[in-house]
Formats: sequence, C-alpha cells, structure tokens
Amino acid sequence: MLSHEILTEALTSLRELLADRGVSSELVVIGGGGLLLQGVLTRTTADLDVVARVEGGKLATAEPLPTPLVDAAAEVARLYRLPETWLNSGPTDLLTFGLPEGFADRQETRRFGGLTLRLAGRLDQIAFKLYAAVDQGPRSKHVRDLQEMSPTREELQFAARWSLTHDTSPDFRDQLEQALAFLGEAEIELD
Amino acid sequence: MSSTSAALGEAMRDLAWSLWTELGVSGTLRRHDQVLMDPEALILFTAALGDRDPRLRDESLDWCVRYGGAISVTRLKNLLGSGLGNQQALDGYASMVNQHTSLSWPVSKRFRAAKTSPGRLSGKSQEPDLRRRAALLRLRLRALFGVGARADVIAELLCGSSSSASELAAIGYSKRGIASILDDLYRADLLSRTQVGNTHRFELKRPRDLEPLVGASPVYYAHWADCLGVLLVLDEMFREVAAKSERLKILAANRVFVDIVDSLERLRWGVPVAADVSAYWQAIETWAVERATRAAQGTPDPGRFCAQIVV
Repeated sequence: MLSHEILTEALTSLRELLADRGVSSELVVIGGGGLLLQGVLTRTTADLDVVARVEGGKLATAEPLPTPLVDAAAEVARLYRLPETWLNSGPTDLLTFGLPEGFADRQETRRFGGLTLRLAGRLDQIAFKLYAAVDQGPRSKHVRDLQEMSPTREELQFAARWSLTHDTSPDFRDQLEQALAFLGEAEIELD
Repeated sequence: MSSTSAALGEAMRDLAWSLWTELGVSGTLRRHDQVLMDPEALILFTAALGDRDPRLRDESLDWCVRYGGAISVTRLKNLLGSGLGNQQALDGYASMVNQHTSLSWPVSKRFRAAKTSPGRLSGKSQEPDLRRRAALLRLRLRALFGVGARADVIAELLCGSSSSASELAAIGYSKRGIASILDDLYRADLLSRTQVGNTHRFELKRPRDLEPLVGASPVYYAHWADCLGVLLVLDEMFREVAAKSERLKILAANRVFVDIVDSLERLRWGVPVAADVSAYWQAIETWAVERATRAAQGTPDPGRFCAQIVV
C-alpha cells in the first residue's frame, strides 16, 4: 500500500528514471493517491489513478499509458514492492463521459522533474468520490474519504448534479439520494 | 572509477589469473586446483575483460593458440549466445587465435572484414598438466573422448549427482544432442535412469570404475558460466551507473537482478538485503565485492561459491 511517504519516494524514483531516459509525461490524477499527495487524506491507498494524459495542452485518454512510463513504473514497483498497477489508467472512462465543468481551472500542478502531475481540485475530487460512493455503498472507502473531507452542502450539490450526468437511471438517482442522506444532506436539490 | 568497481575488477582479474594458471598459463597463484575448470567460460570472461589486464590477455591468448584444439567451438558459441560475454569483446581475441592457428573461433563478419595483423605471442604457456591436475578433468575427458558434448556430459556426471538432459544441455550444448548421448550411455549400461515426473534423470552407474582411466575428480564443482557471467554483468552495471544518483543505481541493480536471478539461484549466492531502500545500494556493493572476492580466493565454501563433489 502507498503511504504519503512511499508514494512520494516512488514518484521521485519514477521522475529520475524518466529523466535518465529523456522521457517526460504529464498526467491528470484523481482519487485517493491524489488526495494523499495533497495532504487531504492520511490513509494509505493502493494506487495512483490517472484519468487523462495531457498532450499538446489538451486532455487525452490515459489508456494506454505510454510504454516508457509503464516500464519505468514497473521498475519502481519492483523496488518498493508495490503492485504492478500502482500507476494505472483505471478511471479514464470518466473522461469520455465528461469531467466536471471547470475541472481544468481547479487543478493543482505538481512537478516531479519531467513528470508533471495535475491533481484534481477539491470540488472535483468530491464529485468523483460521491460518484464512486454511490456505486460501492456506504461502507466503502469513498464514503470514509468524503467524511474526512467534510464537504459543504454546495460542494455535495455540485458533485451530485455532476454524478447524475454520468448515470441518468432512476436507480442511480435513488442510490444517490440515499448516499446524500447518509452524509447528512438529504435535502439537497438535485435539479 | 568507484572503489567498488575497482575492488570488483581486481577480484575478477585475480580469479581469471588463478583459473588460467591452473590451465597452464604463466602465472603465480593457483587457488582453484580442486575446482573443475571450464575453459570456454573462462575464455569468454577473459575476452570481455579486454585490455584491463593486457598481460592476462596476452598470456591467455598464448595458451589458446597453443592448446586451443582442446576448446569446444560449439560450446564457445552457445555460451556466448546465452549471454556470457559479448561478440564485440570476443572478436579481437578470437581473431588472434584464428590467425595463429587453423582454428575457427567465432568472429563477427564486420570484424573479419577489417584487416588486423596477428600480434606476437609470449610463448610462456605450459602444456596443461592433464596427468596431475584434478581440476583439468574436463580436458582429460576431452583427450579421451574427443572435444565435444560426450566428454563434457561425462565430466558433469562425474562431478554432479543425477542430471536431466535439460540440465546438461544448459552447460552449452543442444538438448537433442545431449539426449542422444545419454541414450547411448544408458544403452551401454554405463548410466542408470530414474523417472522423476515426466523427466528422466541419469547418473553414472559405477563412477569409481572410471577413476583409474580418467584420473581423480576435483573436490569441488563450480557453475563457472553462471559465476563469470554474473561478475561481468555486475562489473558492467557498476561502471555504467558510476555517475548516476543512488536512486538510479538501485533501480539499475534491480533490473540486473531480474536478468541474473536464475544464475544466482544456481550459484546459491542469494541476493543483497537491506533494512530499507536507503541502505540498499551499500548492501549491493558489499555483496558484489564479497562474492567476487570469495570466488577469486577459491575458498571452498559450499553453498556460496562451489559445491563439494560426492561420488
């Protein structure tokens, strides 16, 4: 598992490997790994989720991640005994359905030499966490993360409305309302 | 050059000198008189050391020119193909041998096209003392059975316990050829055969009966191709990363260990361990120099450098 310390070590090693090979990469990161780097969460996380690559200033699907990056990440994984997928493009489908409006303006940029990470802003992380929490239920780590982030009503409303653009089914809406109630915000206006 | 590179290089040269002196090269120290020699692995190792010890290169070439007929070219090629040494390093060495003899050691086309003049030989090498030196069992068997897989198979069986065709092929011959030799020897009632899983394992039926004919076996068996190959890889790694950050050095070492893990397992050398990543590079340096030094000293230390032969 990745603690803040191990994640920073792993990224520093990744940076050095990429620099040594003359490779640069710019990635957009969401999820627990990003929150850990921002100091928002204190728990450990399994991976660093890449939602997009930045190419020519524009966001592009992270699937597949560039081979030199994957190779270097695998070497880092061996050194720190991390899962091979510690750096992965798992959530890149979110890009297809659309990131929250204003996402690019809220990013926080961290540079590790030739490796640039754009970390999703707080409002967007809350949106992604709420969406995942609805999917995985009240006992999931996403609910705990949301509770630790203590989102305001306005932030949850923004997150809930964005979530509904990704899943328009009545079932999802019901589960979203239950999740909001669980978080103490049953009265949020969704439309 | 780092102190680790220097220490490793010194141990490698010491090791090569001792092994060559055992074979008959004009040297002073023989520390491996009871360890089965592997001349092809040693030739590839020495060629890869290149000009770092010009006298070693010249004296070993002198030996190869005089006694190169005892060397298996097939095995030389196969060991080279398996990653021991490299063709570029072998080119000059093999070309020198070819120019002084009628032998045909592997030289790349590109090198062959370039005209080189044959250098002078020292003429100091002694004939390998096949009668008295136990470590030269492999050469004695080649004198008896001819240079090739048959002699080497018998050497391996005399020095090891039971072996399969695959294990024996790993010394540098084709599995099909080895299987055919094992079949011949089995049909001649010289080998016993045991089925283990879906593999046949062979061992000599009466190894002691061979002793009056082929002489005593050495006391120890070393996986020289693995040992010398690993040392070359480590040496190259230390030199390549000399100017890099400690973090990059560690990552490079980890890449290397993936490549040599099978050899390390056969050698029972283990791998360097450290309490955390920050102490890892130091552990790698200490480990490499210690292993190389132990090999160079010829210290019989079963499980670390070579194994005792039990017949």
